[in-house]
Amino acid sequence: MTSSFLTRIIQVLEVLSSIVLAAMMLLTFVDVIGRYLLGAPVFGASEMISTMLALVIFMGLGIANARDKHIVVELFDSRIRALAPGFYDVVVQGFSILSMCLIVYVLFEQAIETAHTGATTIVLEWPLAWITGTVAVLAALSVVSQILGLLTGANQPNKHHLEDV
Amino acid sequence: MTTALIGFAVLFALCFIGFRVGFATLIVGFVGFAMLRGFDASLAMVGQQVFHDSMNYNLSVIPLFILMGVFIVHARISQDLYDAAYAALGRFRGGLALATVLAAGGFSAVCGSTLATAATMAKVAMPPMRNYKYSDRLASGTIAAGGTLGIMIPPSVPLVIYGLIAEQDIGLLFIAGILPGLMLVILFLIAVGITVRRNPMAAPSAPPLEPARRKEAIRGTLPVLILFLVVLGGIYSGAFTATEAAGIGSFGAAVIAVMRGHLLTLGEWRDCLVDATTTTATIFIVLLGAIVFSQFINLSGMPYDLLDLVDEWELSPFQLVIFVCIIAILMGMVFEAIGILVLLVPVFLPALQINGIDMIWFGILVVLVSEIGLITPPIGMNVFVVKSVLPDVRLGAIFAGVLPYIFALVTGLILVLIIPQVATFLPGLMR
Amino acid sequence: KTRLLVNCFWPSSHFACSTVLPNWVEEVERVTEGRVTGIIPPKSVAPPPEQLAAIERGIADVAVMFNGFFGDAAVGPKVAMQPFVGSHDAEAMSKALWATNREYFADEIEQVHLLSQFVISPAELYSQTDTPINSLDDLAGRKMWVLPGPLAEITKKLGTGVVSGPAVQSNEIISRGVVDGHLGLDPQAVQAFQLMPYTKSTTKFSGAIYSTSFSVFANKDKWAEISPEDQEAIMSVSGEVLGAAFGRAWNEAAAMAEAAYADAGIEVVDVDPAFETALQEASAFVTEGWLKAAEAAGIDGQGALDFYKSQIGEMTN
Ligand code: NA
Ligand code: NA
Repeated sequence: MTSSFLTRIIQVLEVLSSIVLAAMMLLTFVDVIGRYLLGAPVFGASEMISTMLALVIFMGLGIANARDKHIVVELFDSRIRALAPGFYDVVVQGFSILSMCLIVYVLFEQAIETAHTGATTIVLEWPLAWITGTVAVLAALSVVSQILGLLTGANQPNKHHLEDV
Repeated sequence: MTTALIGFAVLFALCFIGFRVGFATLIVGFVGFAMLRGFDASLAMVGQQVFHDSMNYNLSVIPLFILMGVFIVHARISQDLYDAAYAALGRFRGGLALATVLAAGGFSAVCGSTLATAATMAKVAMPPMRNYKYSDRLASGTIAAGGTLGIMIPPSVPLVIYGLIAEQDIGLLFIAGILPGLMLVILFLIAVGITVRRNPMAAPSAPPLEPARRKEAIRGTLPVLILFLVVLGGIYSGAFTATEAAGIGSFGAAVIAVMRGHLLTLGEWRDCLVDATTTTATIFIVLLGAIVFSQFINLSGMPYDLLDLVDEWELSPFQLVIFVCIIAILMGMVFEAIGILVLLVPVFLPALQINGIDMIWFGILVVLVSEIGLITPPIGMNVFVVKSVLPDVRLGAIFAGVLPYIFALVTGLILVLIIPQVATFLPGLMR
Repeated sequence: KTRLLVNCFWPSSHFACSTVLPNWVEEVERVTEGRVTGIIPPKSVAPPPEQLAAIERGIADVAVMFNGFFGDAAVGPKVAMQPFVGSHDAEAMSKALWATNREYFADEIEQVHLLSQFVISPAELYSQTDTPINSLDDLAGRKMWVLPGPLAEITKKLGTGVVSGPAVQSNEIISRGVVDGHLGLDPQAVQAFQLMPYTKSTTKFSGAIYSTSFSVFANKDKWAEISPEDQEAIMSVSGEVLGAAFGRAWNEAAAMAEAAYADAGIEVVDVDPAFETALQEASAFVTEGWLKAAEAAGIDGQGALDFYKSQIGEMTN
């Protein structure tokens, strides 16, 4: 149940983040081509790209957190873990979850703040509150997938996922 | 200074215990800042930094260059690169190892990650070296060291991150990395030459490629060369920003992959895009944590105390740079490139700037030192990557095998130290 | 004993961070006989648009912020950001703005304690083609990089092909031959962003097309920690004095940049009076909009505008 829920979250995030990253690539490409060949750059392209960056990071975090794909100094960790593996995992993973909760909290705070001031992006005048709010929701979702990943053991096998590189 | 040092001590302890590096830096930075300015101020600071840096236009080069590297790996171009390099250098003793260095250099020119470079080269270079009875030590060491070229030869993620921290132009930094990157390729080739001369048994001779394969391989590497020239030429001529170059580069890499018969299904596209996205997220967690931590260091007084210390010790600017490099080498034993950059550079930035150090030159030095860190024990990320791709090779053999390249890197470091023009000449032409 | 954490959002090598603010900190220490000290961190503790939030939440104690980032919270200081109200003397404009502030909108900003307001050198009009821009038609027919805000609105209305974005990113567009001119940078910025090689001529207006203004402010609780005598002493070296120091620094930087025009091959062309009048008329709607906003904020906008202009006039004559 939890495991299929997690799979579903990750599937959705994979599709969404793929679309955003592909769009980011295409937009920079089209912007440059438009500028040199057609004399018509995309208005506000750099702000669109900045926004997409934030989306890519926090969608990617939902996937990365579920698998605990975070950098670790592998010097003594396995020896320390061997002393009390259960306790060790709870502490280390709990710390990661707590840190993500801090990020979620400050992003929501930031979203509320920008909603109050009505701040917008400079060129396109997109309301920042919407962007921050979306990013905060994505960050919250990444905590959900982080916890589910811990519960279902999806974060266990080889931390660095070297098969990916 | 005491506050900052305690912060560093706690951070190192947490990292050694096995807490995730990004989260540990974030929390230590948050708590440290709260102790200096109060809890609410620290919350506000973390919010501002996390949000604004997640939306920093200059950082959008990171996912795009990562994507370019993923596409290039997916295009399976490394075999052609390797064979073409062998066609050029195969007739010398240790030809397969020489080819590994050259191919790694070529791969680095279109891939910003040292781990990807090492892993890819391990897959194509190890089988022939095994076949012709090269020693594991020479073969695996060459692959691990060759991978480190990935962060000096542009594109390079660590150079982007350095540019952000030191407020330097990313395009200039990329251009600055070209000559030192070429120099390191040459030094690595020399290192191979010396190694096989001292121990000819390590590299028995191998036959040349068949002429047909030779032609095919050389033709296969042409798109890589063109892509590199377009991306770097665009930055050099000012035709596009680093971010735009990354967009063009990833697009071009996708085109190359398609032309070679890959990326033909949506599933393949998704795999590549997801791979780049998750790697981006992993890097940004370290980056955001480090930015928060550096705000704690910023207010801790440590940068100014170090400035005073430099005065007190009457260090010349050159001595200061050497001092920082030595600290970076020590840090490199444990931390990888991004960790060194984000923890070390903010601390010394004011002292370096006030002493009039050329920050482009310094960036190249720090990245060069990080390359050393990638292959030095106890933690050498590249060595680990090679080990994970080649599980039957002993870790000790790889660490022994990289030794000649550590000497080569240190020689390179000394050369860039005494001849700064290696780093500053090309960017100087741009300004 | 109070220690102020003074934030500077410009790069640490900018004269605002390396000269003007450190000098002010020294003055504060001198007039309070060391009871109030200050320290400027090596790098900014908050992004440029977040300076106000940074002070309110206590990330730093004193900061400088572009008045555009206040939104509706500071309408008054935008008197100095109206088209053709200013001059080419940033020091005079800064003093005039502070005098206008005291007279017309001294209590407007409530969240923080206001220390000073100042104006920087005005934006100039630059051509990147061999033809200087000296008519409304020419300006309207070009593709230009224009500073976001009023200038972008004015030129868009004229029909100019406007490419806009933050000033710090302007060099990416200007240096790449995407546009045939730019409007919104002061001479110092043109020099600092290394744009002189891409600029062929500048049109010298008798008035100033547009200037940006800034506020310097302190956290309220921190300010309340300081004794009334010391507060008064600090204000004696802030307000007009600090504003004038910022203005003077910009004047000097602009003069240095202008002195480099000749070597960079930038021609200085005197404006055709008909062009200046036409542009002035075309930008009148900006001021009309501001007057309405001022009225809504309970400020005598027309009075403030006239007072600001007369103050500059007095100092210039
Ligand atoms: Na590279
Ligand atoms: Na190491």
